[in-house]
Amino acid sequence: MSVELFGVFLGVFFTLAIYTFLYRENPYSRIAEYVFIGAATGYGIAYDLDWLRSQWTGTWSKTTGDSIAFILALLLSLLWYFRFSRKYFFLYRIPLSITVGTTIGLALRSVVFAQVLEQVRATAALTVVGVDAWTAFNNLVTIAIVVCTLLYFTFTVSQTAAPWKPVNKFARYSMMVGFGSAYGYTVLTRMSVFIGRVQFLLGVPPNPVEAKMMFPWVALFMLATMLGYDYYKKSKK
Amino acid sequence: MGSGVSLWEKLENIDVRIIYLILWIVILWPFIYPIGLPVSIGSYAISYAKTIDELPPDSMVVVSFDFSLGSLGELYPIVVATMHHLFTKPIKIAIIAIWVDGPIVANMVLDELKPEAPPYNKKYGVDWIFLGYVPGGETAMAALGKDFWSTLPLDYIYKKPVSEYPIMQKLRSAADVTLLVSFETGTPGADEWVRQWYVPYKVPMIVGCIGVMAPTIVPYVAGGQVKGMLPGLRAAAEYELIIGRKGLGVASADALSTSHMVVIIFVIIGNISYIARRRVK
Amino acid sequence: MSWLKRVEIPIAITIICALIQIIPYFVNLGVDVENFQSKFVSWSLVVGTGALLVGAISLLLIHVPRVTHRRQYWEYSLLLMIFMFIMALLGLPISEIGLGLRNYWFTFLYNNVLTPLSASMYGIIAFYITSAAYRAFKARSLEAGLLLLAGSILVFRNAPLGTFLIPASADIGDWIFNIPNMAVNRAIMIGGGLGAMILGIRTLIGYERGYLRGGGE
Repeated sequence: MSVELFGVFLGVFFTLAIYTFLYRENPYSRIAEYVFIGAATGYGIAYDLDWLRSQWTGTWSKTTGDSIAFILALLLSLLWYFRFSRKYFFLYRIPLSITVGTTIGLALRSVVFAQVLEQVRATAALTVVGVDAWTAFNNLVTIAIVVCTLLYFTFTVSQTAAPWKPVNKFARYSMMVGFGSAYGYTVLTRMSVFIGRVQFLLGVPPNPVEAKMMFPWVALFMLATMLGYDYYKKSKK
Repeated sequence: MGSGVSLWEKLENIDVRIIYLILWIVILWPFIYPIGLPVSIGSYAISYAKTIDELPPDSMVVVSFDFSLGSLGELYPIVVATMHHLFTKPIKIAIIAIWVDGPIVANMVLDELKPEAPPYNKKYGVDWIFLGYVPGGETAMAALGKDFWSTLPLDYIYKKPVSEYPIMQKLRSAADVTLLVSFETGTPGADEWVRQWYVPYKVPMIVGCIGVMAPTIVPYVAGGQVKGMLPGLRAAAEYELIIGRKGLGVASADALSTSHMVVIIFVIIGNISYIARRRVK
Repeated sequence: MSWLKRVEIPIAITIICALIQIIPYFVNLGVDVENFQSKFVSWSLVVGTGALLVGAISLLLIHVPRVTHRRQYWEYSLLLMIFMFIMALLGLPISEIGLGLRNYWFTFLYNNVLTPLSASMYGIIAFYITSAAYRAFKARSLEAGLLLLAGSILVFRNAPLGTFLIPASADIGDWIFNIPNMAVNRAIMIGGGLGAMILGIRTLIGYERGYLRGGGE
């Protein structure tokens, strides 16, 4: 068996091993889960190390000042590992606060524009006059839903007065329609991902055609061993 | 009456493995016996394709693989079709990844399309470049926006300094980017790109995303911060038909139909049995 | 050394790092400050990437005792560690001895092991969503009914067979997606943006300390 063919076999094996979990938890699915966690962790380490090396080679080794800054960054990043120490846990907070502070700064300076002002502007720009009836209706519905949904989540004032009831009701119904739409797209995503795996198992190009030959045999073998084991356990009782 | 109630109860308490088996069958079946249904084309696929078609020659396009391998089945057809479309244009393409799985998918696409060979005949380092993965999520996006050369100093394939490549003489920061194309499966993704590239630099952006993300990105599309969106496998099939390159998207259309119809049927049966049982009670 | 334990120090560091990003963005303090701010972002990326082994060490702390004490599933833990070490070693950035991201066996493992496993893990949810559609997706109230109806229309719209049988389902589905769904998500985005701002400000004034907790506390 060539190396490439063995690779296809591994792909088929691990794909089906995951799906044997649908029957019940079993050694195949456990092997698949544990191998995945180990391989994914090792893979992540390799990519991060590669990026660090390219940073040193390409950016930080050019001047003395940059080199010192890079070494300082690496020394500070060693403090991450005090996370595992009870006595010196407080040192772990130093690189954490650098990372968190920088991220907060980057996000905070533009979130108000990206997620608040632009969206409010886009809503305020919707017009119900000077446009055709259908567009006016859609714009009115959009404005109503945005305003009512925002009011629904306003908890700083008491919502017991009479006008709140229709507002909250409308907001709730709108949100149900919105979440229904999200459900529809969730079904699309989950089915699509599984369809992708089936395409691999059936060797649909550009997937390797050898998978199509291996798929039924590997599937039958796994099914036979699981059913056979269950039958054996049952007969022992 | 008693046997009617027990029938609905039996239906409601059916072994889930039978449901799983039905799903396996309805998805395998159309690949063995294709139905060949037409796929109608929606407005999102049209505007996505139009945005790429309208790119002026020599535009600088940054393609970001913000990608988890878990969504390969849904996003890979979008990625292949988009990269094919981009490689047919007289533009410059820089490929990056913000997610650690991104380079794997980028390699898969490049192995399949082979941009240096016909019909694309693109020269590495002149027409396109693969810069690789940068960790750090939103911070990485901000760093790239400021300075590509220092954030990704070596290219991914040959590990040479990016300053040596002609294409990179035109790409120092986000201000040099004509269009950002992002393939997304979650966070960091569109929200972060809008915050770090659209707000400060006004870089136009299109997004190829999994269906689950589509409802959360559509406000950006409606607000003009994202120019186009390709949500999910159905849109991938539509896009393939628009650009005239049928691939895995169109091949999935029948299986999408059968699987979705099965969900509808199950919802109907489940609700009928629920209503019938309530009536009896 | 005890003064280092004070929580005010990491809070002060957080505030300083955040202000380094915020102030030059809104106030023109010159090219030098802008360059420093940009350099600081890249530098903080290096600090953050240094945590690359935290996940691996956490895993080892769980799985090594399992193997040494032969606890349940110790064989799988051994397999996990073997794959972790193999991938990390093969991917070490030492191209001089043939290791690295272009190493043949590294790419072999991520193409034929990691990719199928990762893709299949998410694919299994399709089955759970189908069984949930059958067992749990019931119109128990008006609101649930609305959710069910909108969801079913979108499921129908996303299937080529659905738009083939009833072409109007495409228009209705698109309307639901572009109008009520968009409006709801816009409102949630505005609310979320305001919440993110408040959370950021609270962190900057030292009220939010949740990210500092854990470990020995």
